[in-house]
Amino acid sequence: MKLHFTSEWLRSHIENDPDIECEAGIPLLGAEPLNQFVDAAPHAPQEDVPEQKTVVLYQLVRQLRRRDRLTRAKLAAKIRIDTQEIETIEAQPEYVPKPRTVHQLAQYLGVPAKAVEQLTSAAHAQDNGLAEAAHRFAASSDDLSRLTRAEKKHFDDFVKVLAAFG
Amino acid sequence: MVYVEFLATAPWNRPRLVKEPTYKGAGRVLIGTAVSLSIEEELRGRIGLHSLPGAEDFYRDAIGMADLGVDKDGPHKGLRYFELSESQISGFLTTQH
Repeated sequence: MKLHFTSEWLRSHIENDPDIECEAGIPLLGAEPLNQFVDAAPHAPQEDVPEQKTVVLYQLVRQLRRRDRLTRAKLAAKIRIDTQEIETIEAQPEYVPKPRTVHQLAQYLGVPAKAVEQLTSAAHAQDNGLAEAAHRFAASSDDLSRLTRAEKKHFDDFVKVLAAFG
Repeated sequence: MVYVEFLATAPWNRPRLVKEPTYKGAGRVLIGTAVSLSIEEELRGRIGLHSLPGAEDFYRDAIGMADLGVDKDGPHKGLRYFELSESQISGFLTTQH
């Protein structure tokens, strides 16, 4: 994301800003309120969480383009992101897209951004239903011709699972 | 607009807790980032937030946000709501000399 301020701007203001704790939203008296902003409990034993990661975002993007008959450039233009990022998502399954890209893709698909986020390699633990659906989806075809009827059904079923992700 | 749901000062940056805070200005950087996100999302830089009582002067005077009064009910009952409107963005992003 482009920042619309400069170091000079920061320096010029910070020197004159009062020493005030600029808190907003909720008072932070302990770490508990922070739990609502993270998916897992802070002290959950990570070793007990089974590693069940299926990175399928790149396949979702490819099939989305096949379904809607879009080139990378056209999809990028439609969701207002760089074509380069679409190319990178498709070429590098481990690539973690920018939050705005996840948001734009989710908006285009009509599903929550959190659901799309779960399909990237940055996701820590997947919801069981979503993980299972992701495995099924990952097993489907990934060529770039027009979607067959069966592939379209797989795609639509998977988008329904994403849409229900809460 | 971009709504800032939560913003807090780290303990090591709080003048009330440590004699020599590590950083000053982290809050301004975060507000500047929220404004940048708002601009990038074509929301014209507008942001809103509910200030905690001790920070109201910062948002009103240092950032230049409009004080739209206290929430009468809801999750932020009793907190003042501030907005940086489209007309205030250029002033906010102006470098002081």
